[in-house]
Amino acid sequence: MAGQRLLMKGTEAIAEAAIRAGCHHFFGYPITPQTEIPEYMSVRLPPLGGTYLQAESEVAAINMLYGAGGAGVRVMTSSSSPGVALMSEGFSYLVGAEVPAVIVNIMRGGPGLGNIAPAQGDYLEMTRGFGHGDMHAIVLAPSTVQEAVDVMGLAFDLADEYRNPVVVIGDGLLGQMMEPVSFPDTEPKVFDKPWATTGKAKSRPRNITNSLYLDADQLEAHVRDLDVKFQRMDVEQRAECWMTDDHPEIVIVAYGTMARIAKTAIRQLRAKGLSVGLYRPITAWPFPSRALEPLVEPTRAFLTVEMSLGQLVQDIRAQVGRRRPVSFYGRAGGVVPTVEEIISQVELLHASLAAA
Amino acid sequence: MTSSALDSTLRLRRVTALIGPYGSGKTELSIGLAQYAAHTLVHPDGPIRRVMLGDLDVLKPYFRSREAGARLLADGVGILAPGGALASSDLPIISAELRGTVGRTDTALVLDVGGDPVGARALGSVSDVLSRVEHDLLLVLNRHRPFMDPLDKVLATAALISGAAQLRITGVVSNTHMMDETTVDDVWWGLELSRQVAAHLGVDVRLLALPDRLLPQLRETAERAGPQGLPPVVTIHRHMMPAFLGGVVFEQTAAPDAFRSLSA
Repeated sequence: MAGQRLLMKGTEAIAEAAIRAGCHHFFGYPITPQTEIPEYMSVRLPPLGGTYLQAESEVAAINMLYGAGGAGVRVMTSSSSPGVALMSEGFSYLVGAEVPAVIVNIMRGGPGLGNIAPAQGDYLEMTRGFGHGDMHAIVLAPSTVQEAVDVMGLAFDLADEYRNPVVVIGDGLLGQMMEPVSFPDTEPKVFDKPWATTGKAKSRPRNITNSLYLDADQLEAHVRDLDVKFQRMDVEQRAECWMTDDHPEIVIVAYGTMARIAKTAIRQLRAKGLSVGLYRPITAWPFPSRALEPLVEPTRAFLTVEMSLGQLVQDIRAQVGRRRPVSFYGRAGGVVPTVEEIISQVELLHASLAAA
Repeated sequence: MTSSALDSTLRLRRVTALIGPYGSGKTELSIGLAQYAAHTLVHPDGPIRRVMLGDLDVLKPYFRSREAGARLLADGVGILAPGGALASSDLPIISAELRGTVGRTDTALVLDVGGDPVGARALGSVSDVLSRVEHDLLLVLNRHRPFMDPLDKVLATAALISGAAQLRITGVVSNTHMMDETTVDDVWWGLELSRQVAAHLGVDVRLLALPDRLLPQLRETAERAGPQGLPPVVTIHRHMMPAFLGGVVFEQTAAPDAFRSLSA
């Protein structure tokens, strides 16, 4: 019985979901709170004939992705905030050379070495083009262990479809908590990769994985081509609108684990008679503006809640503008806003709207 | 009750260490067991004068038993874990008091050992003192976890863990669960494997753990235990909960009887 569902940590589930999405090659370097991902890969990949390699550093790991992804196989790495930051140069190479790969960032408290507690302080770093040069990458932000499983398959598909690396972000809680999960029984999609460096056939010219363009005009043409691709990615917007059908007075904005805490708060607030809903980005980039837009008019005020001192709120303010007030509540350093804190913030906001 | 027994019903020894892979439920069980022991064993003049919970988990960074420290102190359980800011580190620190505490015959000690063979090495570092006192090393088994089914996988894991701890497993705790989604079928399905594992190790299933709410269904289906009957049954109250499942982490709960042993 019950063979289909497993009780898994977020980190383990992410690793298993990647394997089932056809990723048999992992390069990485351990860091709390995501070390179970490489640990799990080290157990599972060798018997599958895959590659598990603990690199000497994050810089090395991301460049191993460049090689493996360039050869056309599905490949990933995972790390946590400071370790991910080390990968930014290699990440930009992946974008420049159009190499698909998946990078998981289980975020911890920063800046600097910070601590190992859960945080969402890397939102701006991840969504503004994580790396040098004109670049973007799709950023997926799951909220449950099951959703983390679901987005891993999507992440590999999007990476192959756009020939661009894809980022999956989760706060440390998502990585460390355990929940029952099930895995899709579908076979991974197979993409034709005529560009891959798999050995030269006589019938075609050499395939080269490259991001170097010494000629300025050539590089500009390449960057413009990439930009057209980034604009095409806009169709990948994903968001959840929860309890918004009745046009609530206040809409809380949150992503990842923060959105689950917000949902508990919303249930309790609704039981008290307050009118509250949730808008939750699932793609942190492209920012899901199309799902937010219909909420702006009917909502009297927005409250963004984050495990940071205000990052996602910048995207909300950019879109809502002066049409509606957007307030913010956040904790940093690994402190997680509680249900009670959110409730009191909403009650304050509700009182100020009533007084206005 | 003798000084070597943690409890006459559960028949656990003064020093009881819980081992098993991540997610088998060692932390919740060790908290419950320590609270239970503090409630039933500690008497000013009795052989057991205090109960300590040793957090030997050097692997997982969150949801560790040390985080329930305030709650445990209120319930009369002392905690052995890295103190101050080091409590929130991922450094493999084992409290220096541990070695001395193992030998104290007036102290009941429950040890929460980190998952997998690497985590069990922490226990191996005190195996010399542990092997000189009466102790139990219990393998906690959750069949819903990866690599914990079928039998040969569990036995391989058990051998690695026991080898790293340099101690022999003396019993199995059947704790198959799916968090809030656990059904009575899960409990029986897990017990079946726990019995096979225990038989191969030459030990008994020492405890069957399940959520409180499933007790009536367990009683209704008790015939599924077969001729050998049920092992001692304990119920667990969950402490290590994310905020969205129950408000503030670790501070709500726990009636003193949050962990109960029931004569089956």
